[in-house]
Amino acid sequence: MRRTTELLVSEITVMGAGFCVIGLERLPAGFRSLRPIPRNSFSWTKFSHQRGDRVAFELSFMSALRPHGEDRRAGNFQLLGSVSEAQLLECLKRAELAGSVKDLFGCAVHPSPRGGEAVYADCKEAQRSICGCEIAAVSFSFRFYPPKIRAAVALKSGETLESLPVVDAGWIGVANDLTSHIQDDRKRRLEAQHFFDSVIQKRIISSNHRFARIGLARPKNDEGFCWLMLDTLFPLPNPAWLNEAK
Amino acid sequence: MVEQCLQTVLPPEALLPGEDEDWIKTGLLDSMAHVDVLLCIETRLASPGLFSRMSDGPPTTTRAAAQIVRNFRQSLEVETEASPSPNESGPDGRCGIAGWGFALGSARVASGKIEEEFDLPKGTLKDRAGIDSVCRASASECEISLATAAAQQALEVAGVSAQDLDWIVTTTETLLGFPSLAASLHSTLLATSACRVLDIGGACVGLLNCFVTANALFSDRAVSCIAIASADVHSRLLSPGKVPGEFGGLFGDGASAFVLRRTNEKDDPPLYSVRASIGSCSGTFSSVLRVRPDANAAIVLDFDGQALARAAVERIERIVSDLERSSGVKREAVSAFALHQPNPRLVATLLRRAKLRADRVPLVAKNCGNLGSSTCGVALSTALDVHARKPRGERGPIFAASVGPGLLWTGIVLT
Repeated sequence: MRRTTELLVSEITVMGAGFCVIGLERLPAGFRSLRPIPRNSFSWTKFSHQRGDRVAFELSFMSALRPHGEDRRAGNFQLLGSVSEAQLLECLKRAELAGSVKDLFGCAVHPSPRGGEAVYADCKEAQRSICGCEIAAVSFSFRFYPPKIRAAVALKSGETLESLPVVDAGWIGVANDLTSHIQDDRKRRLEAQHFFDSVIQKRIISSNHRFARIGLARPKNDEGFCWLMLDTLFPLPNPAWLNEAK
Repeated sequence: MVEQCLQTVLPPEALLPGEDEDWIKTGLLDSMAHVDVLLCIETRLASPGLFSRMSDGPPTTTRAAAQIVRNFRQSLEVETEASPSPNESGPDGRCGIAGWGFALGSARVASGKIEEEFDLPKGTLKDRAGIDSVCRASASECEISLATAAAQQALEVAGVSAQDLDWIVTTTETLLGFPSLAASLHSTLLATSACRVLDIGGACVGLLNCFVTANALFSDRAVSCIAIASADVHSRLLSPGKVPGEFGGLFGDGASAFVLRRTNEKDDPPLYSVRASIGSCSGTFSSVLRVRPDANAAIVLDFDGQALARAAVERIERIVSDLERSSGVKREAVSAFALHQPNPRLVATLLRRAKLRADRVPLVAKNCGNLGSSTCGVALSTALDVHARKPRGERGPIFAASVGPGLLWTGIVLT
């Protein structure tokens, strides 16, 4: 009989045409992140569960390339229940956690050598590919939307990460739901930027739970660049906030 | 130009795509590289946010991007005909550097003696940092006297009287009291009551911030001559017992000054002018160096030397690349690089990584130590001594680049 592992789904991120999923496994003291991966691909074309769901997976080890040591081959998953946003956040704070940029992945980050303010970790230096951190502030940029959204976050240490690609499927969904009826891309950008600068900023500033999970992209080619991405942002987006756009 | 930007993100052996080949659908570019190409084009056009103003999404083919570039350039030509750019809006055209000078602390202290003072292992400064000696202010010298000496040199080179100055713009990271450096310099130079003063921050990028600010002040048609100066006496602030020798031992004392005035047709050779400037703050690296006074006037220092060195080298390398993009000037065509030099070892690393010719980088830190923002100033003065009097056809542009705590960064192109 195959052994199953219970994961608390913490991340559902957009990865190309599919989704990447991360869940928390309970340990004797705290939690650790594991990334269930389908048999034939790195991403799920369809994932029917939500963030905060407790899901039982059949997991097996796979030869993961550094720093994505959290990867596990997965199949046959089954919903066991779910937890609230506050409970999920408490679990995340007992998983991988950093107070500074350097501690996120156990290594220095580097500015893009090609222009722009995105930063990367060297795949040979990074010790993990996902980590949480408490944040002081966040702002979104829709300069290259659709489809790209970037975010800048300020850590409580005073350090900033200035151009993180937003891959959190929930936040991307809010922007798309808000603007999908608009044909002109420039107007979509303006609408999304205005909504996030006003309604979303107010929601985030007034929240006591400002927390982000920063992930590393898989390196492409021989560059070894693992770009930092915004995998999850608390407070989680609430579709009801869209009503405030009207 | 679109293809040049594509080449910056593609592997060297990769072929450029056809004009109508979709960069994303063909897998040529991933999302990160796509944004990098778009940013490169915007930087080259000096038009941040260009693509966000388009009614369509960001271009994903060479033809579409090239069309946007063409349209933008055409619209720019129409605008330029209607109104000249700020730097050319004055009655006499652009402004340029007419005079320059620097002053160093008159005491030369060998690195071995500094190691003794700070109780450092022998060779820490000479072998690991590459510093042979530093310049230290004597008991009779201070930020104001050094800045005054540098400014008088610059005025003399420019053939300008202090009475002609409309502004004095200064920067310092060590003179913490008041009257400020700019006010004090106004007094020591006996500038007129019509000459205004401005103090600018930024620590090691302070001097380049002064250049950017002075250049902008010339958009006021009433302004015709500006003196800028930097001065720092680190030896009295970063002394043994207050900070570790691995940090305090790197610094020297000095000042630099420049006189900018409007150019005219009689200038032969033409004056070097600020053609482009870039800069910002990369808070990602803000924790690698933090210096502040505590309640007892002692110094609280957070200093991660290795991380700072890595961040500084990477950022200055990026500044050089970004200056190339924004100005269209290749580094091979540059006559001199006036660079901030935290220590000589970092300069050697930077030269290797950025493929800069050593004979085009005036070295300051090896014999003078890190002079704060005056490091760039002394390097720039040295470069101007060599190149400013050459005919235009025999000299190339000068790049200046610096980084400071924050991580602040600034770069300027002088042509």
